[in-house]
Amino acid sequence: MIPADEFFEDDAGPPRQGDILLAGVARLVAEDRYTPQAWVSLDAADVTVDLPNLDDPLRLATGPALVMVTSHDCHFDKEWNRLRNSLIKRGLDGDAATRTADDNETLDRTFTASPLVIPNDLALDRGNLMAGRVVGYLPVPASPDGLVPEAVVDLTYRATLDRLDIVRVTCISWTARARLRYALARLDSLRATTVGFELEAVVGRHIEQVSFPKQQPLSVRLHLDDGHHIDLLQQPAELTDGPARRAPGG
Amino acid sequence: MTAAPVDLQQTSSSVASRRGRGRTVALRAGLLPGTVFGTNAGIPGVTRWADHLPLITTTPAIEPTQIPSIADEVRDLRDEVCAHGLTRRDVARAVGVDRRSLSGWVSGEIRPSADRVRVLRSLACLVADIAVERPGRVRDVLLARRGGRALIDRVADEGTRLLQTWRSSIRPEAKVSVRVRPQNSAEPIWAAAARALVDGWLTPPTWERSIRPDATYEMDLDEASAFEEDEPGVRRRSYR
Repeated sequence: MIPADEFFEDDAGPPRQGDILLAGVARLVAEDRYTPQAWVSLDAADVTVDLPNLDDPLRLATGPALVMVTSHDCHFDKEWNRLRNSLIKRGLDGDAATRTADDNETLDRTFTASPLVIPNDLALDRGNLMAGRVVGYLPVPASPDGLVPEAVVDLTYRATLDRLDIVRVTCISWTARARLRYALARLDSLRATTVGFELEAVVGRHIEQVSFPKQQPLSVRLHLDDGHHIDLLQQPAELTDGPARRAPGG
Repeated sequence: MTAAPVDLQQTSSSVASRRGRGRTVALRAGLLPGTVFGTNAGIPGVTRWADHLPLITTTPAIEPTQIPSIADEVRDLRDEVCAHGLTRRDVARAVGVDRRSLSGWVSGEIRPSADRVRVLRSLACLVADIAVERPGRVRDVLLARRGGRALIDRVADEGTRLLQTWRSSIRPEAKVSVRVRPQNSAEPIWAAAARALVDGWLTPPTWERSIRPDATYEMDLDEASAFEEDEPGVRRRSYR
């Protein structure tokens, strides 16, 4: 697990992937209101909603939680960029389009987040869990300010939140965010990676070229001097030539 | 002086009162014992008999033109019901006929039976009753199905009895109930952050936006082949 001083960052700026928030979470439950042991601390209340014209009521388990933002940074600007671009295409200059889009408070309101849970609540080996070896969980060290206890982000629980209904507790570092992205990719998309190679076959060979296959965005291809190549899974990270940040109100 | 055919089985006070004074008096006098309605063709004999009854009343004489025809009444009832959001198809469904028959009644081309008109009056009364308690939701209430039949399909069988029973046979308005679960004595994981929030240490993120190229939000699904899975070690269990 990354040490706390390398994991956390000062709280500032717009919402970003990996931010730890104080928010409410909710999930739909069945009639027996079963709650897995890991989520007992999240299900503080049962809510039953009887709607007209619906035979079966909606049942929710809900409660306050510390959550980690799982949506990517660009998700928080998606509708804003779309509106701004469409206004520019309709003839507005960039500044006017930006101001008009800024005035619209309905844009990019929702995002997803996963709750932090106590490691002991999970029926999993604590050592593997905190070492980040269990797919679906991201270990989080205790924060120096005491606001976040040692925990794991349970990525198998995803809640949709409103950005106007949250407060931020802390932000995380680039390194920690890279680990979050890798954990998300492993959970949702890469359960059975096929990237690998026979070590014996490449001992003594020279790497002549490195490429990033366009059709495999998460892999790095090493071209060997004997004409063969090996594929490695690259660590997900922020692109170096990232988006141009604007100053607040700019 | 002769009286025009009048339905003496009319019981709806709301309908009677909006017909005007002459109509109300005629009903109270009970001059025409028996129905003058019949099948679509009517009952000519009864009508002729009714036509020749003297109108025994001290009220001003009623001109035949003042008494609405069945077609007029059907139209009024239909429009009254539809004003609460029901469609003409809904009205026809409640009465148990198709929409063309209902139109025929209104135009006078088809003469409805007394039973059908009674159902229509019951529907109007029911709609008025529901509208008082569930304004704007009349159609939802009538079409709601909970277990058995929708209320609208019971009007023909149960008539004005539904005025007493419709409330118990429909689902109530949206209802929310909350039950707080007992928690163990350990402090929840979010407790320190909640205290910091109360003390004013926590704030929402700012609204600073980033300009991003269109390509950020575009993808090419043809690249999905890079994510095709191969699970050689997995053996599916069969169901017997």
